[in-house]
Amino acid sequence: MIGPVVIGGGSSGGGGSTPAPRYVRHATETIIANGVWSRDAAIAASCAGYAPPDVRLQIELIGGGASGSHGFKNGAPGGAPGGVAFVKDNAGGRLLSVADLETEYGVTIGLGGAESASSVVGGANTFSSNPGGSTLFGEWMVSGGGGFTNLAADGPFTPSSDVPLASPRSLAPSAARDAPLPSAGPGAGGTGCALSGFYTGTDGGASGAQKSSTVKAGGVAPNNGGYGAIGSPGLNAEEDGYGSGGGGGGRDAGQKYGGGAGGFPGGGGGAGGCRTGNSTGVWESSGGAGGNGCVRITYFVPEAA
Amino acid sequence: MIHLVLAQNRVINRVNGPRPVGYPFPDHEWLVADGDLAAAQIGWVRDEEGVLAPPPLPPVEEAPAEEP
Repeated sequence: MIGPVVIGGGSSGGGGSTPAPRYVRHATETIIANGVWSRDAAIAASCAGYAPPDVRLQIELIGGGASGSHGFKNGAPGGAPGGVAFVKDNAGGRLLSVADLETEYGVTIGLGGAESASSVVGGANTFSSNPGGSTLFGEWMVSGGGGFTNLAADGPFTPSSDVPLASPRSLAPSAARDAPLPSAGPGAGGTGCALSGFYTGTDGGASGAQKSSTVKAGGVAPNNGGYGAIGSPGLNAEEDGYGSGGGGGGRDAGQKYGGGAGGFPGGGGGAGGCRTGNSTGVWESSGGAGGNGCVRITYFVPEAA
Repeated sequence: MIHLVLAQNRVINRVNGPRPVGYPFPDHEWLVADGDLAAAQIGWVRDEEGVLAPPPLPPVEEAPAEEP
């Protein structure tokens, strides 16, 4: 049995005095909908030709990103990215042995927060976003991006204290040449433009990645100068990265510009812009939806001699 | 199919699909997010009549709109 998920960083562990096998990345499986993950079937499908005891797995949980806030007079905040967590062994290593996993795990995928419509809260004195959903793998869970408002506290869902976690058991750390150490997680959403002053929002946050090729820039906010536009959506990850944040919405006369959606997985949505209509009062554009979460399983096999 | 997960009449999660085998919280209630429930988000609460709605907000002090 493996220990509980630890949020955030940590290494995959180093080898001891005895040379440990070296593993290389072989395949990646991305789970986007609820279901049951079967260990043996998954290994057979992803690592054909390898004996299951030789395979190592990295199991990563990514929560849904929060939506951006709808427009706010002082510039609305963008959505928070979903959390990222790795299932670790009791020694803190991320490479898990097949023998130390149960045969099946229920998988629950947290969705990104839905677009935060301007009609949710009237008036430009408020802002509000929708939180992202939590993602679970068996008893392990990571929270989605927390929703927020300036009206009432609303933090992310946190696990109950009475969750019957299995007893952890010590596992020998393994060495991996291609150690998966992401520099960052999904990107946060950009802010929306304010009612007055500078006419633009900010770009969405870039996503971190486990490979440099999968770094994704955040969505672009429209330029200043009265020519507003909708914030660009965040970009989706490739094999092993994260979604970037959506850009914040701008403003322009007679138009309403919302924030861009967050990228998959876990990117936060951009916030909507804010402006004054000619005769309709303050307009709050919608905040972009957050990117959905996922469970990503990376399979490693022994390095060829 | 999107589902809402409720604990103590509060939406605590929105997930993509039905309740999986082995879900570790037996006291959580799962509802299909369609019809009137399609718009429900995390943090919404269910009243005594079974209606889900955003939690009540405190009064907002309106300020005059500002032009640049």
